[in-house]
Formats: sequence, C-alpha cells, structure tokens
Amino acid sequence: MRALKRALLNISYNRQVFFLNGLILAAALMLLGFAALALFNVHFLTASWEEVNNVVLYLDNTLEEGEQKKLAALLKNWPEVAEVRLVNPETAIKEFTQLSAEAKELMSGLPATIFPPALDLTIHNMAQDDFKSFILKLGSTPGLIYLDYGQNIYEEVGKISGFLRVVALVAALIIMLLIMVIAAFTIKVALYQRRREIEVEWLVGATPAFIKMPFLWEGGIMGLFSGLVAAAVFAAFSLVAPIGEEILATFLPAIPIKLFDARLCPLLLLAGPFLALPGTFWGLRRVLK
Amino acid sequence: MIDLFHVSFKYPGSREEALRDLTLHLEKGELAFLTGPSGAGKSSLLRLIFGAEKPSRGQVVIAGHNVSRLTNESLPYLRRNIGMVFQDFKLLPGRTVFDNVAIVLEVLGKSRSYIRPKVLNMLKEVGLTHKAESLPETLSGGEQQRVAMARALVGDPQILLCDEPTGNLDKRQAGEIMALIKKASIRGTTILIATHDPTLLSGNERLFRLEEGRLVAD
Ligand SMILES: Nc1ncnc2c1ncn2[C@@H]1O[C@H](COP(=O)(O)OP(=O)(O)O)[C@@H](O)[C@H]1O
Ligand SMILES: [Mg+2]
Repeated sequence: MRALKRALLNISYNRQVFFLNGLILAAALMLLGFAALALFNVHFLTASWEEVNNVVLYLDNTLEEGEQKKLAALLKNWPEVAEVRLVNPETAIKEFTQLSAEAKELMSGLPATIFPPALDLTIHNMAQDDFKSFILKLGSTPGLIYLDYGQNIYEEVGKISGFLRVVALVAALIIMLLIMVIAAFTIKVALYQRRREIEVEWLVGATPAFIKMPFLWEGGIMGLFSGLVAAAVFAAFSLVAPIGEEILATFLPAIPIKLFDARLCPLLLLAGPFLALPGTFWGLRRVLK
Repeated sequence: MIDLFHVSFKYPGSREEALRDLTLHLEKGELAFLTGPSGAGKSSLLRLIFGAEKPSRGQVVIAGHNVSRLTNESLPYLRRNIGMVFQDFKLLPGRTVFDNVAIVLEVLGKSRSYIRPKVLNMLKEVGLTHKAESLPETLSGGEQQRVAMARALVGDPQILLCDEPTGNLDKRQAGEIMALIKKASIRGTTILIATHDPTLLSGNERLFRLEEGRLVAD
C-alpha cells in the first residue's frame, strides 16, 4: 500500500507526462482495437459462410440401386446433412434436358447412362474448418467417383480470409509490442528522473522489490488509464457504427462488415494494464546497474 | 564484526589493484581509524565492507555476511546493519532533512508513528531539530554532515562507516562530529573512520594505515 501511495504521489508530481504517455498508449490500444475488429470480421465471415450448402456425390455406375439407397439413408443420418436426394442417371438426363432447348439437343442420341448416379446433399451451415473435415469424411464414401462442392469459391474465400487473418494478427502483434515498448520507455524516463532517490534507497538497504514496486504500480495504473480511454472511445464509436455499416452495405452488399463489436470494450480495458505491465517489467530490468 | 582475509581488489578496467592482500579484523564495539594519503584505498576499503564492491581475491565477512556471495536481493540485509556516511553525503535535494533521515526507516517498512519520534529524536541528538523541515541544499557543510550522520545512525546499525567525516569542516564542527561518533561508540557500535586528517586521532583508538592499497600499520 505504501508503494501504491508513492506511485500515486509520483504520478501527481508528473501529471503532464503521465497523461501524455497514457494518451499515446490509448492511441496504440485503439489501433489494436481496429486490428481486433478486423479479426472479428474475418472470423464472422468464415463462420457464417453460406456459400456452400449443396454437395453432390457422383457414384460409380456399377453400384446397385439397393446399395445407392442404403448409402443415401446412411448419409441422411449424419448431423451435417439436412437432406439427401438420390438422382439416378435417368432423372439426371431428364432434369438436364429440361434446362433448355440446347441441352435437349446436346443429349439426343447419347446413351441414357451418360450421367452417373448421384447423391444430392443439402447441408447445414457450418464453419469453414468444420466444412473442411466434412468434405474429408465424405471423400471416403464407398463407390464415390467425384465430389462437387463448388471447390473454386470455397478455396478463394478460404485464401482471402486466411490472408486477412494473418495481416490482422501481425498488425495486432506489432501494436502490442509497440505498447510494451512505450510502457518500458515511459518507465525508463521515470527511473532516470528519480535516479538519485533510487540510489539513496539502495544505499540505505532497500530491497530491489521495494524500489521497483512503485514503478510497477505506475505502469499498471497508466495501462489501466489508457485502457479506460480506449474503451470509452470505442464505446462512443458504437453509437455511430450502425450508420457506417449501412453506408458500407450499399457498396458491398454481399459482405456484411461490422464496425463495432461489444467484446472490444472489455478487451481494450484489460489489454491496457496487461500490456503495460510486461513493458514496465522490461523497463525495470536493469534498475540497480 | 568486520573481517577481511587476504583481500585484494581491483576496479574493473583499471590495471592497478586498489587494495592488496589486506587482512583486518574489528571486534564488535571497536572504534578504529583508517588513515593514509589520498588514493591509498581508504574509500575502496569502505566500499568493500559496505558491499558496494566485491573483492577480486580473499574474503570479506561483515556481521556474518560473506560479501562475495551477496546478490542484489541479499545485499540490502547487509546494508541494514551498516550506517554509512558518504564523503559526498548523498542527501536527496528537494526533500526535507526529516525525509532524508526517515528514508532509512521507510525502506524497512516501519509505520509513520514509529518513524516520526525516532527521526525527531535523532535530529535532536545531532542538534538539527530546528532544521527538520529545511532542504539539505540550504544547509551549511557541517549541518549536511550531521544530517548524513543522523541518517547513518537512525536505524541503530551494528556498524558505522564514515568516509572523511570532517573533510570540509572547521575545527569546531569537526569536534561536534567526533563527539557524535564517540557517543555511538559508547552504545556499542563498531566504527571505522577513513580520514587523512591526523588531528582527529586522540591516541587510544585502533589505527590502520594504508599506503598504495597495502596495510602498513595496525
Ligand atoms: N571508481 C573507480 N574506478 C577506478 N579506479 C578507482 C575508482 N575509485 C578509486 N579508484 C582508484 O583506486 C585507488 C584508491 O582510491 P580510493 O579508495 O578512493 O582512495 P582514498 O579514499 O584513500 O583516497 C586510487 O588509485 C583511485 O584512483
Ligand atoms: Mg577517499
């Protein structure tokens, strides 16, 4: 408690420096907030990804009708599968020729078994990773010759979201490092300002912990202050976010982008002290040299 | 209380040894003077006893602490047994005389109600009660020396080390400081005083003489 009291005293002696550094940290935290927002959006995009809800399994011609039905019944029981439709070659031809006149012309004279029997699955929405393992599981179906699930779109979206995630993560890491460096630097300045006091304390028998404790409090309090400022700014931002989202939606109707997430406020509030404290530790490591 | 066995010491980066093969013992309650010309190694010897430096060779054992084995974590517990009066006082400017003395007890985590009477009593002993709220930079050399003395003694240390305690003082002020030292000695404090001023010696204390890092007389 004495250390906390000393920390508060020191903060009040150096109010301007404290507020300035706290605001710099808050600005860095806000950048971190935007990186987190980007991550939330990527996650949201891939989690609620509705592009693929239909998978077609083309089966071996030699598979007997009874076995096809058995397979359809089996797949129907999978939790991912909403509906299974068995499409035999005749139905496939019929459906194809009904598409257009050109299709009908194209089909004339070809054998009735030009299309293999197929199972048309309607599947529930699922996250990208779950979808990936679902596809793998389907791949080992007996009698399967080809699996059609819109591979191209699937892989494109996967690539883009993966790239965005890496960019946002790297940005977040750099900003976190930056916050720690700023905190360390702030503490180094404070150590320099109070070097005589530290020297005398050390000479009269203060332990390293006694000497460092007020500085740790100071770093923690500054982190908390910056976290509060950043969280408050984001909370204020949440009031205008819906307007921005509406504007964005007119440009990019296919991709819903969220400009605010309620998790941001507590996240930033905690990130302040949790990043400032390790930085402070780092700044304090050579105090007694 | 203070035991040095065949101690040699060299400052890092310097070629000459500041102390050479030095053996010295002080019993509890002894009062001793360390003399010798400037540069002989008196301050260096006090720094070793204080744990500010470690011997290059030999053993330094102070109040049961082997200085060579001290870490940053254990060194403070040696220093709490030692009151040191530095040649340059090392008082904190901008802090009152009271605060400068009280820092010793604050570092020990003592309560405000314990610290206040203790510090005021100490200031009374060195004759600075009226200066308790003054800043050290407004005091004369002799007064600053007495503040340093009060800070060294306020924790009731087993050992008192003084580096040139009368260095810049006139005869009357030097006499006052010596009276304080004698008083501490009577209470059983082990005391070692580094000085190049031979007029301080009254003849009946132990006397060590250093020359070029060697102990030439005991
Ligand atoms: N910090 C230091 N670094 C290197 N050499 C030093 C340092 N302090 C003192 N010395 C050297 O050590 C020797 C002893 O110095 P010192 O102990 O201060 O002597 P005294 O106190 O008797 O005047 C001198 O030669 C001095 O130059
Ligand atoms: Mg000296």
